Amino acid sequence: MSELAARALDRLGYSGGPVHRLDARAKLLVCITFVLCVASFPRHEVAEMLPLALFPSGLAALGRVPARPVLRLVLAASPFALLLGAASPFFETAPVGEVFGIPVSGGVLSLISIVLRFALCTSTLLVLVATTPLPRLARALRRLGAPGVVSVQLLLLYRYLFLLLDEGERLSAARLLREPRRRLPRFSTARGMLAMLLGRTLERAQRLYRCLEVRGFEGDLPPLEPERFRLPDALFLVAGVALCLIARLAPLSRWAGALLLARSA
Amino acid sequence: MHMADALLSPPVGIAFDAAMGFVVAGAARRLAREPSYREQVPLMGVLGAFVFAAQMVNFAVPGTGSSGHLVGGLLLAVLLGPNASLVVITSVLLVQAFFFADGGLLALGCNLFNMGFWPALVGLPLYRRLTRSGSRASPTLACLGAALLCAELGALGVTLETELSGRAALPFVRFAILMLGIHLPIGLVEGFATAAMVRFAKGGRGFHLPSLEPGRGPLPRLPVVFALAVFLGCVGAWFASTRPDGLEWSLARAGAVLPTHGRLHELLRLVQDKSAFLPDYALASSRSRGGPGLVRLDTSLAGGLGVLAVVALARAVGLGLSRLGRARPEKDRPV
Repeated sequence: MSELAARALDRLGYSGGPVHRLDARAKLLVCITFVLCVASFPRHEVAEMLPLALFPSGLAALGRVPARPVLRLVLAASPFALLLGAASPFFETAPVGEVFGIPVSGGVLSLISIVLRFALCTSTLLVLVATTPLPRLARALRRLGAPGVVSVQLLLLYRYLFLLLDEGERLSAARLLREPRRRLPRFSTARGMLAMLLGRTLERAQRLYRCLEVRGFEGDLPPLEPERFRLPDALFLVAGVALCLIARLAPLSRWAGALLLARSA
Repeated sequence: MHMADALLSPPVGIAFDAAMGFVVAGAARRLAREPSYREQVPLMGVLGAFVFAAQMVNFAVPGTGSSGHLVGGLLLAVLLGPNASLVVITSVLLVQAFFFADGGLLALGCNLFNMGFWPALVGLPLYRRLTRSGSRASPTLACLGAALLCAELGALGVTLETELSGRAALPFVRFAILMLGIHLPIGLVEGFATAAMVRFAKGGRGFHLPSLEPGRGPLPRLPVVFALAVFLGCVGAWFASTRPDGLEWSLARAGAVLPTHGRLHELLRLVQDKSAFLPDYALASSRSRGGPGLVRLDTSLAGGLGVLAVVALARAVGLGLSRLGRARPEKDRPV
């Protein structure tokens, strides 16, 4: 299920739009600032983090990214983080506040905070990929100082990722046709499937090497079009970082609440 | 067992990112210099994609009622060598964070530490030692031992990172025991699956497999030591004692009265105040601001910057000395 959503995000990255046209470095730097801002909130913070949700949703709206694949991946991903968060209410039972007269323990607040952080950080990264193709992100990482070897690997991995996922799906489908009553294969069956997959992978690597060699491969994959850092990119970078910092440092939720109460009174 | 950005505090995430950044940069530099690098590049890329596809093949773990799959860190290390495997795992983790919401940018260093660093630093040398000629251990046993060790070290890493970050309120010892216990069967499954794959890659029934020449030798030592120094500077600085050090304490116990007045003393204090940009392991500009999170971030930054400053100074002195050393014989050379 998550493979389908990932494929959908990948295809979205290649469509055009104002957010798609922005320089990948600017987007990456703003996303890193955003993640740092979210992570730097204290453990029990919930309300002050809410305004930050405007950033991924705003970016998604501007980039015309549908919510479905993003939400599907956020829901499907990493139950580990949520499990750790879910354990908190059992260990931190001292009440730290009241909501509508009901005492709320620190552990419950910490759980809500972790879920919110998780949703904010992962959805931002997914929207980033849905508005920037991975090859551009890999080059942005390289121009921001990541080793060239890593960016070449990222490009090759991305090129073969979905092909090999298809290969894995075909193997699983073939297995299911032969033993439809068994939900999970036995280890000996899985071992055979994995060996088949590895054999095909290694053969593919050999063919790939020959093809690259014929085309004069020197260990690097040069970009087809150079990316330029223009004025809109600089403006996006400055505005993005500034908005993240404002949302982190100013109590926006409290101001909004006070404004709302003043209106209704 | 991917760490997520949501479970990390910025100082811990940045410390691990910085430390692992040095290790990966060192491994990448060493890898680019290897003679077989050009040949290895496509193999590395495709094997990275194989790890994803292999993780789709879930199988039943006998006796537990649960399922398991190959994680692939140790397999990559055995097939590609330590440097190449670390680079491939970095790209795998980046794609997992970007496309599958597994992990994250802040958590990249932690995940690399838990899942890529240990197989390259500890797992592979152990595997090689157990399988070298003359050793009585079978390759399966070698894979099992290495995979178990890596899984347990990774689990310990997750526990430590969660504890240091303080985002989830879990008692350290109970959480560590639970994590180590859960990772025992995971390590066993990983060991058996890796052993089967290694055996196949070396035999390759029915396939024309390329000859695999994994990079020799261990991870480059200098970046690992440097990474440890940066990490200790960032995180270890929290545990720096605010009490007087041994010399101050013993002088005070002995009743020594240190003169704190006088022209020379004033002059030296002035020089120290002006030159110390990290007094008591904190940034000079930030000492008045409050909040435990901010203080920790400042301390980490100060510690990390201090380590970088020391390394830069040592490097400058080393370069100067080596220049001096090189300049001398040229004078003696007959014209």
